[in-house]
Amino acid sequence: MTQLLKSLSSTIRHIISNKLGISEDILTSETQIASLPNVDSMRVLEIILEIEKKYKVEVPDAVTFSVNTIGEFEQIIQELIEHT
Amino acid sequence: MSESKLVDPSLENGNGIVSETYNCFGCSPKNDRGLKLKFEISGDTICAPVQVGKVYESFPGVVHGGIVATILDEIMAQVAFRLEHHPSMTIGLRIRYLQPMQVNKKYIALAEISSRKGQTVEVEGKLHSAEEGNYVAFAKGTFFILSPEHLLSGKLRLPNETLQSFSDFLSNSKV
Repeated sequence: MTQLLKSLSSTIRHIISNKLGISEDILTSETQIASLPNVDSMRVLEIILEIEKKYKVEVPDAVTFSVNTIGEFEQIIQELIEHT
Repeated sequence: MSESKLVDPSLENGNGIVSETYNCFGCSPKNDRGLKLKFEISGDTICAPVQVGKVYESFPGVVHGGIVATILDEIMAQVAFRLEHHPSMTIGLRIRYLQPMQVNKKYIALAEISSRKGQTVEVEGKLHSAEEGNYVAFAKGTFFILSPEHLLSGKLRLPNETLQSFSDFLSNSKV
């Protein structure tokens, strides 16, 4: 895992845990976002908005509805950062 | 919501003078086909109750996404307007739809300023069910505030009647 992805992963999981009120310990790359406690479309959007603000990227709309795992989401954000 | 006050959107200049040409699709009470939104100001937030009928349907029972966009654009523009009581125009709009807005159901739209840079204002808008509280859509809008200098510059590519209405508005604001 690259240094960027490591740091990104840590930040994203921290944001997810804060927004959903859950422990970071249960979050892995394979974790299905839809299966997490307290998740709904607005909370997912709040997570996306916070990440957009932090990394100054714009997440495409399709991601909100198509991303499955935390690992996939982190990969998308990394690609957005690298292409900005 | 504490210390909120109702505002009549037809009183554009806040001086109690109703503009005869005011026909905004979003908020004019005189536009028969319009949404006739009414706004409540509370601190830095503006909100409006919304209930939309079948005439604005897309699929049966679902409000057209363009109408959802109009509701959010309108309420965000109201917030931008009330910064300095100068007209503003939308220069960017992004809507994120979370779930369909239903026909004949009660919703609340709300908006607040998120940042300002010179003549440009960024606003956030939200639309949620009045009863269940679940969010339908979230918007980010960018508005350009039309200062008197801009309006009088001759550089704006607007129809003459638009420029005249702005000119009338500015004149009435000085009353």
